[in-house]
Amino acid sequence: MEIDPATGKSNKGVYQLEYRETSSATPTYGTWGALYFDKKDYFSGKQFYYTAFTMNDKIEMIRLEVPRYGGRPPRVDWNFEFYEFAATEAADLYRRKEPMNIHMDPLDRAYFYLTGRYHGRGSVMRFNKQNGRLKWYAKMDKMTTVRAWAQVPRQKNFYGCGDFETGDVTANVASAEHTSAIFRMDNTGNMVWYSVLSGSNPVSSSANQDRCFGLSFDSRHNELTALLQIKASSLREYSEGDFYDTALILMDTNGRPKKSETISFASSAYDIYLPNDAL
Amino acid sequence: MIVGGNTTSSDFAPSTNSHGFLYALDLSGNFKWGHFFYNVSFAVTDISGCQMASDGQTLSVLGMG
Repeated sequence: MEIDPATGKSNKGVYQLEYRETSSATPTYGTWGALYFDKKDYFSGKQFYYTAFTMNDKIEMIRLEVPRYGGRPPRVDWNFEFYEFAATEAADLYRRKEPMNIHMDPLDRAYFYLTGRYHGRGSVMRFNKQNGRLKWYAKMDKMTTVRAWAQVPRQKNFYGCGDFETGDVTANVASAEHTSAIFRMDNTGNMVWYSVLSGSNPVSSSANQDRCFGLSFDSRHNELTALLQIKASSLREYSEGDFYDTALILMDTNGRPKKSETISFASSAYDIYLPNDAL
Repeated sequence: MIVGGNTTSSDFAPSTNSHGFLYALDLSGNFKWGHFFYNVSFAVTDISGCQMASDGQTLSVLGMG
């Protein structure tokens, strides 16, 4: 749906995508936030929503044309269902997927990115906007999912971050060990650098659990800020324990940390959880 | 800043079943506006993401019915 950010009102633009398998059965859907509204396509001048989600545990990616003026209903311009790695794969890991974010290439208006998780690992995919064809796909063997991104304005470089569930023990990362990771990539899929940010859980018998949920790029100072959900004792000051605090880490464009700030409830042992792409 | 998600709290929505919500704060943390999506007449149970549209004027929101 479309919201006026000043007032929160949605006077138009509420669209429902639904596929009925039978008159009474609907599939199971999953959404992670992959949505972008291009109000003027560079080629046709039309308005398109780009979105991706799961339907019955398969990734669906859709370009939906929204008529600029009333009288015609929205129309699916193209849609693709991603290849499903099925039971012939050795492990359930390869069937896990999370279509997380969609963003545009500022240098080449013909392309967009879909980031998240595919085939069990963090993924970045670059697609042609006109026909949805895949240009390239980067699979991160040392990342479980790419949760957030930050585009450098008018440049080919962008940043992504997420985490690596090192043991692949479960789809739910509530108790498993995971380390946060940040990378810089360009629009040809070249990995410029990859950095792991992780520390030790203050409770030595508990798993280390550090994850990255947000990125923001400051083009005026050429600095990157990462938002982390951490248990790393090296970054926390007060009442350390087996619970999550929030950390902001300021870095240069090569991923070298400049300073960090931790947000916690001080002596109160409460977890602070973060949503995806939260900065 | 605009925050969206799911609440099952009857303190913020009419009942304890899932409701999607959105709220906005200014940079000083002052509350500007907030909405929940009533899960009967307007069935949005969760907000999973939002991003400004290409013109920077409106916010595109993805939710689950």
